[in-house]
Amino acid sequence: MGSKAVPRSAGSRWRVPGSAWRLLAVVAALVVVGLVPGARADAAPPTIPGATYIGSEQCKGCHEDVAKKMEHSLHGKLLGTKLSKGDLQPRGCEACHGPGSKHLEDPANPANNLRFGKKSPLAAADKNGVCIQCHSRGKQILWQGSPHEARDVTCVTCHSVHAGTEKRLLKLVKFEKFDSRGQALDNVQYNLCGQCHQVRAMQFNRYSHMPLAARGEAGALTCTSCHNPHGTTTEKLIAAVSINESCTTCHADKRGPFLWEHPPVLENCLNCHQAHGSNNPTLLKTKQPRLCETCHVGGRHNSQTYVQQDRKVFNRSCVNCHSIIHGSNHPSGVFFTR
Amino acid sequence: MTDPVNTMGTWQFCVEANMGQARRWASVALSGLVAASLCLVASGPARVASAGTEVLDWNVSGSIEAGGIYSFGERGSSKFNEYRDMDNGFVGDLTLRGEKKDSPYYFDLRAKNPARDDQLYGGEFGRYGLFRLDLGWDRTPHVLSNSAQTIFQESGSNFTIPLALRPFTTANAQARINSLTRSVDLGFNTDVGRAGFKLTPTDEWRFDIEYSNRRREGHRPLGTVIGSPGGSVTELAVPIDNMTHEVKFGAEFARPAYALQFNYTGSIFRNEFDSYSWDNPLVTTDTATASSRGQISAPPDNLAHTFSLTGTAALPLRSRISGTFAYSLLRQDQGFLVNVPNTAVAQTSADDAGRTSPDAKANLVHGNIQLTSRPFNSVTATARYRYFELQNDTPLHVFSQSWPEGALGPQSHSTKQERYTKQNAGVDLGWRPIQEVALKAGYEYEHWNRGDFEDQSFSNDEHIGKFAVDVTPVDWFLGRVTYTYGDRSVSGFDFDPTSMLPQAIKYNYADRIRNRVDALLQFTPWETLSPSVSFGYANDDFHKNQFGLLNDDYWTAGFNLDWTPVKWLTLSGDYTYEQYNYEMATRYLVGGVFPGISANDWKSKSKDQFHNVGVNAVVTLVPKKFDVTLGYAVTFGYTDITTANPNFVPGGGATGTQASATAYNWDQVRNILQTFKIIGKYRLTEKFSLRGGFAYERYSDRDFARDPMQPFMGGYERAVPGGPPVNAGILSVYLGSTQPSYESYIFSFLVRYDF
Repeated sequence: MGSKAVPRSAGSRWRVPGSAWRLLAVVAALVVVGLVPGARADAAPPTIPGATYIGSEQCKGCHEDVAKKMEHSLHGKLLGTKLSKGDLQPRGCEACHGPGSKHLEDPANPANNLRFGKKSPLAAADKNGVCIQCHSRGKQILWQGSPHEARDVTCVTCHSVHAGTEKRLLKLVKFEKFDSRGQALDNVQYNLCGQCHQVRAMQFNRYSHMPLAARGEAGALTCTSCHNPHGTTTEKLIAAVSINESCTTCHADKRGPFLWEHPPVLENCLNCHQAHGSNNPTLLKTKQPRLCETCHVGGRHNSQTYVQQDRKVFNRSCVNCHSIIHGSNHPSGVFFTR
Repeated sequence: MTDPVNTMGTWQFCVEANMGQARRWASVALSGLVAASLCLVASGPARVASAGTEVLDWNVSGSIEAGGIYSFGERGSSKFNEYRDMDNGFVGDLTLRGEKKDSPYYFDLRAKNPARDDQLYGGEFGRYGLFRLDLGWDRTPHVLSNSAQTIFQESGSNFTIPLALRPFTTANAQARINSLTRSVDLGFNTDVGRAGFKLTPTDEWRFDIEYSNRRREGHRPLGTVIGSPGGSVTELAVPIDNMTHEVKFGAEFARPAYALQFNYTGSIFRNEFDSYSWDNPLVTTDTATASSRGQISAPPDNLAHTFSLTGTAALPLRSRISGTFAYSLLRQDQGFLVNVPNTAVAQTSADDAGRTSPDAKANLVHGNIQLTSRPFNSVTATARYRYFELQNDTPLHVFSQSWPEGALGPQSHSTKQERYTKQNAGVDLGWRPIQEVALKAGYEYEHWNRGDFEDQSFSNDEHIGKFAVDVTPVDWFLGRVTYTYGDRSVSGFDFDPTSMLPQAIKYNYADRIRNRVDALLQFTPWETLSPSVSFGYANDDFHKNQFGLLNDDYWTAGFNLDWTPVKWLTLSGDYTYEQYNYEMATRYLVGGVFPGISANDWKSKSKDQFHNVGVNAVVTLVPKKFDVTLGYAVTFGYTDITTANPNFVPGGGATGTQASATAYNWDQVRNILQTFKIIGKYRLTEKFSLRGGFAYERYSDRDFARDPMQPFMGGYERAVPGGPPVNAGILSVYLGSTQPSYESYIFSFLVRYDF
């Protein structure tokens, strides 16, 4: 909050998109380099030397249960059917598991086909390389080099390729859970992510939290409402240009730009809020007025200690008066009270 | 003589109560109608479906679930139905899926809880591999408080108190406030409608377009002041009615060696209210130092356009390059409100240059480039660079007739152009020396430039080192440990000793040493047993700060177990503990004059602790016939805030600790939510099943800031704990909104038919 105009030198006008344009040029140049013939071996799936394609019908002879499971899945619709496109999809089972002739000869040898379970000798990158043949676009376009990929998380860690829930083939949880109204909880994604991100998942149980489908609350908020686990250009796998842009997708009233900006709001909503849950109202990181006092030291009333029976502490504390703290459009709104 | 206040309040209350009742009956009637329709819909295809699941050349499957809930106990707390509609009555869920026989067309329909405040509808129609049309609409309630009371009559965004009943004085305020109050529901519904179309005409091309609108409608609390902050507070229950329209368009061309993706998102926010105005309960006539009306701005209309281009391409040596360039334009130009709603002083709706709107413009530039390579089977390397810039192009506005502090008169204030760039560059190296062990090491450099923050420009540099190890010595165990170290420094930041305490830099750019460790251990010795353990610790040490945030840390520990000891029993249990600590320091400044004296220093520690316990079991009593699901969960949340004077000097005066600086601890904030559920599911036939459930919920809440709230708070304030009331002359009016504890019992019964 300032009350004086700041003189600016010409150099302080931050018209710096020059560097951004340079960045764009570099990206374009490298993409062009990528188009040169032969530059296609980044994540090629592993091969099975000497094996030849035998057709999916042969597979069904032994793996009838899997074939039956796949019937209603999206993979079942598109692999080895009349809807198959391109070179790979018509291969059916062999599109993913590789040519099956050697597996037919010696089914027990794990080197004779491509397997994806825990006992598979394939490295995570090789397993994922099989999926990437088709799934290197859309939301998966930035998978390679993403945090999950870098930690050897495989596609099959989360997805059940032969069958799964919904269209995303997510792995099912062990058993159904119900809300207090007796209705089944939509908690597949929440439980799946929570297997590794246990604490994050539990934070939604706090006093202040966003509505979560997995708690039986209305709204379709799930982990992927904000995050893209397959890779993004933003920290924390946020599926937006920045954390603020993600938050203002729903909270557009706080987007501004405002006449009077509150600097920490401009920078990052998480300067004050804990997105997954908090013990304080409106997802605040800590209780007011202490939250505000971590920055607003000195000054007038914000340097006092206060007892809990003070109007600057009870009810909504600082926001009792500074109620439009995210920004004001009022000529007298410099202190976010108008 | 009839009391005009009581008459008006009672009449309004009656009207609202009757309208509420009418709405409830309408809802019940609609619920019945929809339930009957659902049953009819279900019985049609169900008969046909059971004969062979074929309806007019379509293979149809799905389920219909219908029943009701009945609950009793303390249902009035807003926490009971915070994000859900817990009224007694109908609940239902319909899913319907069809595939055209010998054809790639399909549809998918869903309807859940029609006529309830948390209803949901969705539909999808498509052709496998070619196109998909999505439609959906859902409503999310958010109940903020059921105990709020307001003294104002509401007409749109205008709040009034009959002139005859003003001004309030210390002598009549309590009686006036208590007689004027009427109940008001604080909460709002968010309705989201969406339509999307995705087309994949060829293997290489993909197009998608989506439109959504998000409408919020209801009431929320808003604190207002007419005078200086710290004076009388008038809390309003203001109406919300706004809509956000969002359009997305995407196009992609992808081949195995490269892909290009273009995306556009346009978002328009429209608010029905540009401001809220209210009668000053304490003043009836405008004078040069007092205003009879108050006015506050509402969130302004705004729009945002974001264009992004993402490309990825394969390179030799098993390498891949990816890059993104995104540009956003944020705009807002809502007309200025009048500087002060006081006819006794000079009023204007323009800045000193005569401009009547902010012409607020911000642009976001975002670029990212990443090169990842796997030159050998055991080695991966990634290098990345990220650029983000917030350009603030809003012109500077100077308001010499600004009235932010009421009676203190007009002041001159000018806006700022806060802006920043953030750049990150880093490399990660992964090495798997043996199959069972993966090592990762990384370095990242982060650089911020901020302009016009705290009237100056300055920068931050942070060096971050990361180390991670993943161990899988056997196929039933996975261990992951990650350690991160960061050292951030600020440069170019100048202290102004006349307006700042020494070394009191805000925590988002203060010098900082960060240490963080995360560990996860997952065991899956058998398919039937899969425990996991997690641990986390992080510490941010603002080591150069003498004031402001000094230190914050957290540590967490969690345990999860899924176990199926016998075929008929599945168990799961989890426990997590979290602790967050914040330590800050500041100094009371007599008269606001810097630098003050160290005797008035005070330090405060905030500690948040959470315990989460969950236990679940599924017991199959009769295989394929009857099973029971049991669940118990409890969450404890505690907040302790303690404050101390490290340099306390008794006696006050010029050298001693002032009364306003004397530290006191606050009561613990505590909330506990327990839920117990038991659901029995009985299959009458392969397709028909019955489900009966009972849930017990107990929420207990204690918060010193919220619990005592009433519309009239005179006589409550204290200068010292247990001391006599102070500020009796301050006539604040609150909503008295609380979130009380509750204990409820919920019974449910549902019939389900799968077809």
